[in-house]
Amino acid sequence: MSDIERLFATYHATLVRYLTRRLGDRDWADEIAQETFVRALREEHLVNERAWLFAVASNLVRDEARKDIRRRKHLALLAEEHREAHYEAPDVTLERALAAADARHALDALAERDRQALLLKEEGLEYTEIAEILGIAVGSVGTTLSRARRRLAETYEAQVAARAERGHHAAS
Amino acid sequence: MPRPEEGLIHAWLDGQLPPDEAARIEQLAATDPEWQAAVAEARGLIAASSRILASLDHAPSGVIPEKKSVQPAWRVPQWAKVAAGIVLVAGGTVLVTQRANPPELSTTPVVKSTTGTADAPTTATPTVALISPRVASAKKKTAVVATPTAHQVSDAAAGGKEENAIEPARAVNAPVVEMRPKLEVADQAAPTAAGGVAAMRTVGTATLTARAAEPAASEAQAAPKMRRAAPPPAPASMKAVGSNCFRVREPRATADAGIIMRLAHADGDTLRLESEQGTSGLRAWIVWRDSLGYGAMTTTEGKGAVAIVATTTGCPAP
Repeated sequence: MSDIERLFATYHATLVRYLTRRLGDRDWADEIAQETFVRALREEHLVNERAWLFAVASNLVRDEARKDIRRRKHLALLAEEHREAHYEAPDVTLERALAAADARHALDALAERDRQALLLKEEGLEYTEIAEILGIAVGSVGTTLSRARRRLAETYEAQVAARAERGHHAAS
Repeated sequence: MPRPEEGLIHAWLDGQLPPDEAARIEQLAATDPEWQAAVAEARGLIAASSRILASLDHAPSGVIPEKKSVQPAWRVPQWAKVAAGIVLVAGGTVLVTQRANPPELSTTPVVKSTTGTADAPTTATPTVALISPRVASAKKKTAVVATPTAHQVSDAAAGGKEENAIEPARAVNAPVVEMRPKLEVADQAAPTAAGGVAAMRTVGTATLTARAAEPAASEAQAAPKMRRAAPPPAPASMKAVGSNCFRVREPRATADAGIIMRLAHADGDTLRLESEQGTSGLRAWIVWRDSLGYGAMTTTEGKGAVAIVATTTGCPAP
């Protein structure tokens, strides 16, 4: 097994999951993951391959130009699709979509550094790796994560409660 | 006893503390009620975070549909297309023989005008004479999608990947631009042979004049021809919808399920809805037909997509 095959087998699934959570779009996550592995191919030697892969993927996500292009194309095609009225119901329930929207809202409410630390930890990265990717001291990763987790949970609960309240008003 | 440090507790629960530090926290968590409570809360937050983030894993792939070929609302019979072709040749021949300056007519202006794309905007002036307002509108929208901004162009120049990201949009939209003007020409020429000759004569005149040295005169000549094209369908009146609030649900759900959304924008019979009070981060597009809306709902970032139906309902009290 070549190095790139080993890298792919070891990290592709976690990298795509990290990116999917970060972006909310599986197709886009796949694209960024592929680009990350392509860049890994060009590197002769990676000291900490996991930290390197996640750092490169995070940098690619920050490329706002790509994001804008993608969003514009996505919205244009969505609008075209709606006009044509040819729908195939995706296998996603409304409840699941609402839960995902609440989670997305809560995640977006976090500061960028907190959000990234949280998502990287969820993929099993060590504190030293998170500190390296974010450029912060190892000792502050725990504080960053505790703040991120608390804010995520509180925002999510508030979002769910607000939606339930609106549903109650609408029904009465 | 030191007060509980939340960051330290999370690091301990994540297994990221050195052994001696971990042993100290473990001791505190076992003996001090305040630390016990803090550890229990931290465990809850870690579990809740994982659960919340896991709900993001269901982001669907393939929600962007493959581009279907655009079918016009009307169809031109095959015989009419053939007739239009004959008339086109005849009309062109008549014009060529009547013109005093043959070199200007040796090019193929009509063909160029009908195959203009967003990537070849140099024939924009003659095309205006051929297409209806509806087609012009479609062409304009396509150009907006396909044409990168200066910022994007600089990004594309900096790295080849950005350039690739632009290309699919061009490829997807190009057929829309190429197809409709051709059909428009056939439509104008179709009704009768005599009418077709007249139509093509006017089209040809407008086109050829547009290629001459006086663009202002060509526009003045082209304007009346545009009024001859079929008008776009009249948009449905929003008064017919009757409410600004809609109950949005999945097609399989019962009629009283779903959420309430408010009308944000109407473009003919295509409506854009937003979640009531704008806090839950959802929006939807529906097409209104016979007291029922069909469409899709996404997050405000345009991510994810769920097929929905919508019915009017009373707006909740603010």
